[in-house]
Amino acid sequence: MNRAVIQSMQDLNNHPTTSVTVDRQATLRVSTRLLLGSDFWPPTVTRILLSAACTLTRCTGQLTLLILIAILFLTGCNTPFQRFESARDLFAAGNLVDARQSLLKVQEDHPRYKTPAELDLAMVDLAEGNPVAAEKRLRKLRDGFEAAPKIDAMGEITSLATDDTALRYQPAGYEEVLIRSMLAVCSLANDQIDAESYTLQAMAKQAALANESEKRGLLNAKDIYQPIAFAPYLRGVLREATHHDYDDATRAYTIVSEVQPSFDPVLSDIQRVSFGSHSQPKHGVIYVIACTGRGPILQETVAPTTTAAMQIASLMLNSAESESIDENGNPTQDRLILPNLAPVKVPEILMTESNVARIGVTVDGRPVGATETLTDVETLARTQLDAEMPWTIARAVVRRATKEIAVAKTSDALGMEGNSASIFRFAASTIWSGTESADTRCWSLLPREIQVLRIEVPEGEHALELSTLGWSDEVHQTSKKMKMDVIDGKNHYVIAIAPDEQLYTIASDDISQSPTSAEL
Amino acid sequence: MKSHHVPRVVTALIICLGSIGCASQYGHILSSNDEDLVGSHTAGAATWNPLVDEAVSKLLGRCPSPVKSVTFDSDNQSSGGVNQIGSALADGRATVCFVGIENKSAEEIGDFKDQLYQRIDMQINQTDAFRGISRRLVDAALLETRLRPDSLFLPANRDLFAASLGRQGTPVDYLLYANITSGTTDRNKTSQRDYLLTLELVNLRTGDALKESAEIRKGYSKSVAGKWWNFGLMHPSN
Repeated sequence: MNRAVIQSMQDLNNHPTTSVTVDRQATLRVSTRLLLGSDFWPPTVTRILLSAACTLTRCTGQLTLLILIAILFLTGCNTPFQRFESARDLFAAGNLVDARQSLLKVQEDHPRYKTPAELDLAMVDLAEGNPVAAEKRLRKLRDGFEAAPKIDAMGEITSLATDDTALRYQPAGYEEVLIRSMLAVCSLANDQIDAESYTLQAMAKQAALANESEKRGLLNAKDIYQPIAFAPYLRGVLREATHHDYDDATRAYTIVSEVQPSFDPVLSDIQRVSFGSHSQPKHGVIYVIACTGRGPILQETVAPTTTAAMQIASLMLNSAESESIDENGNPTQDRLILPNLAPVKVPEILMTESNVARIGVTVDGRPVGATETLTDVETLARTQLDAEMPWTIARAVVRRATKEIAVAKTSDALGMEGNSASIFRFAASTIWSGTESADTRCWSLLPREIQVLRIEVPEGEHALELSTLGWSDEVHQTSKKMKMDVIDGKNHYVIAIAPDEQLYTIASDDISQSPTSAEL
Repeated sequence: MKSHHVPRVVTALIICLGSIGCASQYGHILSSNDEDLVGSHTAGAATWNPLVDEAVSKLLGRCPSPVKSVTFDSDNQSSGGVNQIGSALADGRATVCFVGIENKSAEEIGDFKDQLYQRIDMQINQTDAFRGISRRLVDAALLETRLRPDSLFLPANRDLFAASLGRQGTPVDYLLYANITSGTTDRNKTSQRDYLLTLELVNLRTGDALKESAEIRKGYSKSVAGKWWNFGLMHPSN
């Protein structure tokens, strides 16, 4: 955990809870240190946020009570988890129409979840065989994220009173890179005009994230924001296809081999672009890019280690606000202290099992191989979440402190005294804190893994059949067939999406009469 | 603060904070006399553009004019008169096939690579001595022969490549290669990187090569103090 947060917790522990006198300034100092220590906001903004919070608590009792009631109602809103889950299940089962409807309903009813639902809709577009729509949607999202200010000041204030879902949705670092990589995939499945630009953008984004993490001073920054192998791989594929930029391809494949050493095919890729050529004369190349399995999603859980810290902080704040002045002007602490026992909710990774391990490919009835894992999205998500957890918890600490102050001020303003005040504070702060939700928004229709297979074939027409393979490489009964006219020295791309045994395929050069072919 | 001022202050604060959150992205057109941006982490326009201009002008400066000869001096010795090398074109201009840029530097040059190609190609084409061959034809010949650009230094491969271009109706007099290299020196958190762009013009008939290069040295520092300490307070860029 961040040093400043630990220091703040130690400060709290150093005071005996039975006799301590903590004034509002001390509380503000603790909160300030937590906020400043989080490195999440610039110090100036932090001070403004805290001042605003304190100003709110100085309002008259009636006004504060009204705000409190309004916030309690706001935070009690229904969350769209069931609809998201339903959309994911429908997507995996092959019912894209209903999956789309479910996501559109989420967008309609839950504005805070509109952006992650939009990301999922792009995957539905792609699975439907509409890469143009998917590209348009992803491009709009990319531009939106790029243009969004780094600080969501209003969201930060609202989140102090509610929870992290009040913040503007900001995709995780790996999601930002994958947005650009998926844009390249959409372009490859369509006219391929912008594919190279998208791969460049993905690489540039990775470099920017690495610089950012270095600036934040994360000790294990390189592990957290490690490059994603998929982006440089696509770059290498496209540069190799120019027949003259083999040096760029070598550079890109070398990055892939460093990031994903388990991806064995890259060794032959490096060998080929270093000393050979794109393909043999009168041959072309088919790339099968597969999105397999069901990707990581976030679900709410309780942070047990932090709940104890919350109780300490809560106790301290209650003690501070219970202080009263006797006839001689001396402070007294003679009240019943009821700690806020509501747990701190944080997101955790949830994986849904899938029967698909790989995609097997046959060309003209002859098995040519199966896709191999290039990027493990689950690992990326876990690394990212672990890295962000101290900041998530720090925000929860500040939020809890703010709520305690607000509740205490309300009870004082309403003229409550003695045990009735303590019971009111206990009930109000527990209910208020209990209405918090962890921020579980994410790009939930991402695959578990991104896999690739390179097939070099003679020029001319070829029949391709793609099948989903299980964990023991057993062939499932779901397959897709297509015909491709391979051109000498050119790349052809087949995109396969297999969240489970259901298989969606998109190929820009599919010349078969029936695009969907057999589906058993 | 008086209590009746509180709502106003809170409202003003909310408006101020809201304005902090406004999205902003601006763009503007640079005029021709505006200076190029100097890249903070890698070479940028301020590095590549002068490198290309200098290397190309040096190379063209050593090439004889088409009226006198279409050959060039190699090792300070004249390689012959007008008829010794000749030109594929009736107007006396020699045809140059710009094979490509090879990046051997420590940096990924990203989208600059294709732009550098076009910039060099355009400057070669603007001279009276040379006429460039379309990149599409070059690509088609590379695809047909499956030769790597770096393998064209071998005479047999060169002949194969020239024959392919010739079949497409584009005879070639010269092959032009561009090569980017870098050298990095680190001192604590400051580094110096020297960028070298080398152009090599190879006569297809004789195999003679003419080589010119341009260099730009660039310093990278983590802080202004580091820059002052390592490169001096009175550095022109300050």
